[in-house]
Amino acid sequence: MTLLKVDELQVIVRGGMAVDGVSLTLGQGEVLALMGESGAGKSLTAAAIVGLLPPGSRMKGGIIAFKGKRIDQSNRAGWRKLRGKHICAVFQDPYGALDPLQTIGVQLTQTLRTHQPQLTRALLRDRVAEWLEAVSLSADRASAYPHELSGGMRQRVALALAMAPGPEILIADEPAAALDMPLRAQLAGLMRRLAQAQNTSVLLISHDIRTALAAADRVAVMYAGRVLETGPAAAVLQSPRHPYVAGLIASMPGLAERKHRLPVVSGRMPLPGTAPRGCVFRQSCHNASDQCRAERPAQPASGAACFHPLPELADAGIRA
Amino acid sequence: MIVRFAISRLLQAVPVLLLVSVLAFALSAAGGSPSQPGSGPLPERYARFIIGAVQGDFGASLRLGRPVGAVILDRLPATVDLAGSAFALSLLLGVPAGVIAAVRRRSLAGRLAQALSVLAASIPAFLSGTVLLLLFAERWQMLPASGRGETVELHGWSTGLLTVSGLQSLVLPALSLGAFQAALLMRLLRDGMGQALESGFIRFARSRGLRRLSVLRHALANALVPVVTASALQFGSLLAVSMVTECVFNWPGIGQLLVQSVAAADVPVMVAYLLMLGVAFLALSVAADLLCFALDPRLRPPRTAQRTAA
Repeated sequence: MTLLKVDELQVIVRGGMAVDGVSLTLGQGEVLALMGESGAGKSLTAAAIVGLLPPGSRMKGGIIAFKGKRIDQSNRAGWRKLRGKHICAVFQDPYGALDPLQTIGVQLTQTLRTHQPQLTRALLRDRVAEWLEAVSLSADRASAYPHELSGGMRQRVALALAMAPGPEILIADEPAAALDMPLRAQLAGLMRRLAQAQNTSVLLISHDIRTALAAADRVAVMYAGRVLETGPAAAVLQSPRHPYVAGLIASMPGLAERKHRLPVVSGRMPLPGTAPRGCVFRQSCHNASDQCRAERPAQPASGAACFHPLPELADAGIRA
Repeated sequence: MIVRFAISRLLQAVPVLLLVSVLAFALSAAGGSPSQPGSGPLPERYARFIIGAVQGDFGASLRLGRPVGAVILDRLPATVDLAGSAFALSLLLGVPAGVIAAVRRRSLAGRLAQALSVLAASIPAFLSGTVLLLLFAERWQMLPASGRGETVELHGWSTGLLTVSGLQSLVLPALSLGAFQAALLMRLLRDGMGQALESGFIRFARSRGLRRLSVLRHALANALVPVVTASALQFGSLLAVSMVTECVFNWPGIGQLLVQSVAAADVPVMVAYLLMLGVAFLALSVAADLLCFALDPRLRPPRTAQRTAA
């Protein structure tokens, strides 16, 4: 069953089209990784889904539907009812995600009480302890202030805070980006476990292919405000069809078998508002044709948005 | 913990206090006040000066012939009434206006708060005082133009806050003195609140579906920390700036006393005023630090080593 459907989403940032026609679906219990370089429009897409676009940006077009009901035109009260219990987002910065003036116990209590006002004081205390333990923190950490915790701990607290309302969809925007590699894997695993336990669907935003491929059922790869390829995580890793995605995977050490040097994706991603006519990747693409210059390839439900997709391969494609 | 912090903060104030006292002593020595005959070496005279000051003995006023301590004590309650009301007024006006201006930037109320703050911040106290006087006291005769009105004595401390005419007399000077501070507070809070509202934890709080009021409370608490420090120092400057307002409204406070004393070269009063203001500023800044300490856990020393480890 499709929980979330994003259709032809467009977001404008200071006059430039930063997200230009993105379509995504997220099924019940599914983990979808939205990947791409910084500035590709992943975070804006995520923010639009919870109605928390940063100042200076706004939704220009498209539809966002939750359980078949359009939500992108919700008013303030509508969004508030939706957020937390149904869709909850946790954003990048572990240092800025928690109120520095409140203990984490108070912040957890407040979040739980908002969504379950019937809980008694004693029950709330128990639930706070349970949530802290669920993210491998001892219960007596409830009295700690955010600055007394490490970055990894803070990010786990943020995860507990995001999961505590029992959301049906968790949007995790690079939750581990500021952490060390081992901590990232740990956090991704923890997130997956918690999501599975509550049957929560996850939209994981990441620029790190490794994390995305390890945690996700399906992936969508963004570039310059467009989704260039979607598909099951394993299939995209094994046999990317879009030249950009193939280059991205090939450039990851250890992911693809490599012969001599790591290939690079040449050229720079166009900034919002400067994308060329036709395919947004054509300026960096070796296979670009007249057709790529003239028209923009549509984003298929699954597969590559490309006029000249690479052939399906059994092993990871190497194109040097 | 807070006691230890308070003590250490007070100890830090000692050098500043010493500096102020040296300046005051220099003024006193240069003024050659005859009531404290300048005999003996300087350190001895300084010691005598300090001992006297601690006991409230600054000699006699040259102009009035009475002990300076008594003269100041006569005038102090009026200034405390005025500065206190002005401060309260600036909080009452500035804080809500700042919040509204931050939360509803584009609304009519937000724009109005914005425009009024520009107006209030750009009109000097003597002008706003005179305009208020001309309109409310002269033209419409709604409020008294001069003096404190009736006052009540409480344990030797007079206040106009408990009588109708006392309160009426306070309105114009407090408004004139407090408007500028209210505008400053409003801007400080608007910016702090605006910044807090765009911060990550507010965004995260909203994404968890917290009520708007809870979200605003988180933002306000975070915006308040710098405001507390600034407003404490502002209260100090209210005491100092009040001399203008006191002269315009013929308010019998220490500001007016200072102006009269300077005109008469009444050095002992000036010295006592200087010391008093210095002490008041220090006390206020310590109070502000204690308040911030209570508000912001990041300013407190780490609790124990094991808390921060692992």
